[in-house]
Amino acid sequence: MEKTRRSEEVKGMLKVNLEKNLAHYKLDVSFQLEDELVILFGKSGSGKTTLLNMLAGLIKPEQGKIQLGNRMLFETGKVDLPPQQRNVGYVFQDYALFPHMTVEKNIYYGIKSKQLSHTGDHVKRMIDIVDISHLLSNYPGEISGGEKQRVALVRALAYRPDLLLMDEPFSALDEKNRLQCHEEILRLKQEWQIPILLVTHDHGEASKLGDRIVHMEEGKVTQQT
Amino acid sequence: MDLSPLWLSIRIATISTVIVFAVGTLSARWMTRRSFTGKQVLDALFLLPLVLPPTVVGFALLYLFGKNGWIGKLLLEWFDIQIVFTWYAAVIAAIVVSFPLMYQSAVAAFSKYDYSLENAAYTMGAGQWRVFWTISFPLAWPGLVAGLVLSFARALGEFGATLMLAGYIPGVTDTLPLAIYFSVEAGNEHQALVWVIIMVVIGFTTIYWLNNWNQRPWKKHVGRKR
Repeated sequence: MEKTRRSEEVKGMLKVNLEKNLAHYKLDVSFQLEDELVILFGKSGSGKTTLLNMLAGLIKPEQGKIQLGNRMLFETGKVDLPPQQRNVGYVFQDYALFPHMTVEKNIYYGIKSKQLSHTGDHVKRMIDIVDISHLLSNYPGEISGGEKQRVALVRALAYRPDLLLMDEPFSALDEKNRLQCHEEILRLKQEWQIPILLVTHDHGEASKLGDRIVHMEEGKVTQQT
Repeated sequence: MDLSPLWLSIRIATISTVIVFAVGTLSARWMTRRSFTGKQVLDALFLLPLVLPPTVVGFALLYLFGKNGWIGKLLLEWFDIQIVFTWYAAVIAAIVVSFPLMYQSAVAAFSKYDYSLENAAYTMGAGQWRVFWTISFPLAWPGLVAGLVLSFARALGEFGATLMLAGYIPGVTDTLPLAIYFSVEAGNEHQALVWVIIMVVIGFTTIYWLNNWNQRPWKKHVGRKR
């Protein structure tokens, strides 16, 4: 129960204000997210992935603040929670499924055995929603791109994150699979009620999925629609 | 026939390989995930025994572990342990000359798979050791085994540094390569031939097994691009 309680307490707004010097420009962004799906839109090289990595704790910003609900994830000189303590779900661009583990082991990797009893049911329900129950004993090398995408999504949500990051999650999919995954994201969003930040450079996708669109160019937010 | 050189060699190579495997694996993993000033220098130092003549390695070890060496003196004064001319010396020599092979294989193994797999595990709440044991180690395993086998073979064949640090004391430090050399020198070519055949068989089996092992079917899960 401990985990569920904690998630409820911290549920809520993501406040971001970050600076980092990159090779060709300075990344300097500031925005807020409620329990909504926000699209991070921009050309490749505009700093979108770097921003996600900073939110997840994989890259250290030079300056700024990341606050998620009532938890401070990063504050210059004061707080820098390591990724394993941030409780952030991350769907990587190439899915990053563990190739030596079955789909089932991949999905349950982030769930501690203590939490299994009360988290198990919700994971099973998600597995049904995205229709991957027949794949549980397969290895990632044996399933299709669309199926990998769905596994990665369930895996990132299995441990009840307080924030979900998705880095171009549909870029490797064909049209049919992409449309299907769009539907699933929208369905899971209904179910989840957490801030979701999704990176894409597909305009149609952005306007279809996003509650809001944040445009980025050379490390700066240029427009919010 | 006295088989003691064979058993001694196997014992020394096994102990040194266990140590080299652990140290080589951890240091390689550490080095591949960090960047700091002086990294290239440290990297070159780790690989140095690979390009130096074993006699140079032996000289350096003698300088460190000899009765008047930095470490040798301390060991003798504090623990009353003498390294030179014991089989421990042969283990140390084997460790130093085989370490670069393990280190090099391990660095290649840890660089081969996508780092985002480890990052994914971190974001899912796993700590450093859990990530190492459940992600890094299994994914690098084929490369680590290659390093392990090569280090064992190198340790088994070590001659120059061993001779300088451990000397040739029959029944104490006479490993197979030393036994071959001194059998030939003593004119006992028949004895030398037996040891040579044993070494060749072990060497051949090692390479043959390694080549086959690397093509085992389960590798497809590890080696395949996601």
